[in-house]
Amino acid sequence: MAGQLVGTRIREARRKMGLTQRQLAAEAGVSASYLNLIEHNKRRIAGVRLQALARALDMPAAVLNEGPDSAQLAELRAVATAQSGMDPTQIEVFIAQFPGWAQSVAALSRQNHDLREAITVLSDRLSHDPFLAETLHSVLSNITAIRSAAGILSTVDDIAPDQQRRFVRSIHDESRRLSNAATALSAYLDRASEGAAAAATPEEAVDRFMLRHGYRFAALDAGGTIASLLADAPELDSQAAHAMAHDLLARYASDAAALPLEAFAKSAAQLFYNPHALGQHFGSSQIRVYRRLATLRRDGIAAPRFGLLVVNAAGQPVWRQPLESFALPRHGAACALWPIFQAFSTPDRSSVAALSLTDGTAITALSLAEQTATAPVGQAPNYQAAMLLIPDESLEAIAPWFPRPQGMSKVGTACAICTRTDCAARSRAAYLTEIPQTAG
Amino acid sequence: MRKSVLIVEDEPNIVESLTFLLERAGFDVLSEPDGNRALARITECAPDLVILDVMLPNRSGFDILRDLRLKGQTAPKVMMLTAKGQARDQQMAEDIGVDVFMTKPFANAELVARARLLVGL
Repeated sequence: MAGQLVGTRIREARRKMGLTQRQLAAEAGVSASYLNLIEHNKRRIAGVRLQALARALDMPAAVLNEGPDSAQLAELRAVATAQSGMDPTQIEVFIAQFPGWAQSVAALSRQNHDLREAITVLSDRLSHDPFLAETLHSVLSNITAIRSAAGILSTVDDIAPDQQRRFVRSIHDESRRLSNAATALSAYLDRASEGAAAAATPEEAVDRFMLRHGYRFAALDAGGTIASLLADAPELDSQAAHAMAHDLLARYASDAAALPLEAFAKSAAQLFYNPHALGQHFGSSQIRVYRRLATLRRDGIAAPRFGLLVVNAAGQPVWRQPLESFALPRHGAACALWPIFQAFSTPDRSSVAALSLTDGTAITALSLAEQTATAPVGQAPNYQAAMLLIPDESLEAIAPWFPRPQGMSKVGTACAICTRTDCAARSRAAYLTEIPQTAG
Repeated sequence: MRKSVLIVEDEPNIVESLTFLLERAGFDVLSEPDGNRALARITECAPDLVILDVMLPNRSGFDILRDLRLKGQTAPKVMMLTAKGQARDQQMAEDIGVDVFMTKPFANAELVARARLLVGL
């Protein structure tokens, strides 16, 4: 594709310099009619002729030849995919004709994505931060008492003096409490804006710990202990966070013992990172293979990048490893349309889906539900489901076995921040319904 | 004929205001600050109206209301008074049989008017 549009880039560069086709052709030593064919992408151009045209246009031949970088292409492709009525095949033409506008659109798209990420984090906090919930409840109680007592004093004339004094004292006491609550809230928000706020929930503390380690624990792969990792974990500021991190590390250590890093990395590369084949090869559950694949890429191992979400049957995340382009809520409440939830209805059957988020992000997902262990007689089995997130950049590495899904499924991140107002799966209103909708 | 109201609320200053307002409106007023004891107080006092906070010590107002209605009783009338004013909280309260759902902070006159209406005063 890039090679076919060299002509468009030559035409745009010529126009910018204010040259006619005839003038440029003369400068580069080609005929005007041949240049006309080149500029309309009807003749391929390379080698000496491309060099001559590049010299005449005073720009490197590589810029004419290679066109926009792949990151910009991918960004704009995501925008085009999310907008109805836009033709993704015209992206290169757009970039070549309007490079400044293309840069702005890509930058706005990035900014939009970052803002949505921030909203996800904040809405998570608003919904689950015990300090905020308790303080806001206290503030409302203080205001209720003040308003009611003040209302009585201002509208009732025949109040006994001692009763009147009690209401005045009540207003005084509640005002002081209100002031204290407001001061505490302000200090808390100041700390939060400086990024130094304590983790609001054990889940957030564990996230910080996992993020610091990049979800990979070389020490456990080398036979080290969980205790030594937990001894150096200042993020884990509560017993609950400590216990949750311990569970995750125990799972990682168990995965490392069942699928040793070196052997797994070698087989994974040979089998093109196919979880089903790897599961059979190692006699392992597929969700264990998913976890191992998601943490495989690191210094010295050039594996594809994956994200991963594993949830229990109640939809509660038990392993979450988001990608920059795909946020994963900490407390459940994810989009009901994600294929990970549909996987529970067909256990042990993998499904692939191409997902399109409201901000235009496109991502491919491989989902599966499986029983966690054999259930004792008379007891219901436990199930978990997993969704391996595969960014576009990783599709090539798995191409030999991966069935590319047809069509896109429009999904969101969570109802609280989703702008798809007509979604049949919506469970609550969005916090910010005025966010401009970028999806079609 | 005077009617009785039990205020289940743990904030003493709010109880004081409500007591003042409701006594002047013709109610005999009782109060209970503890969620665990609320149900027993309702059975014992048989009030015409219960004003029920949601976030109470030991037991939530939702649980108290659910237990009350599970006994198959439509009496007493229940006015829920809460800082939890989201639509889903109101829906939950209505699903389990609340008669009036009001959010804090409330307007004195409206609260009194709705309380009187509930018991036919």
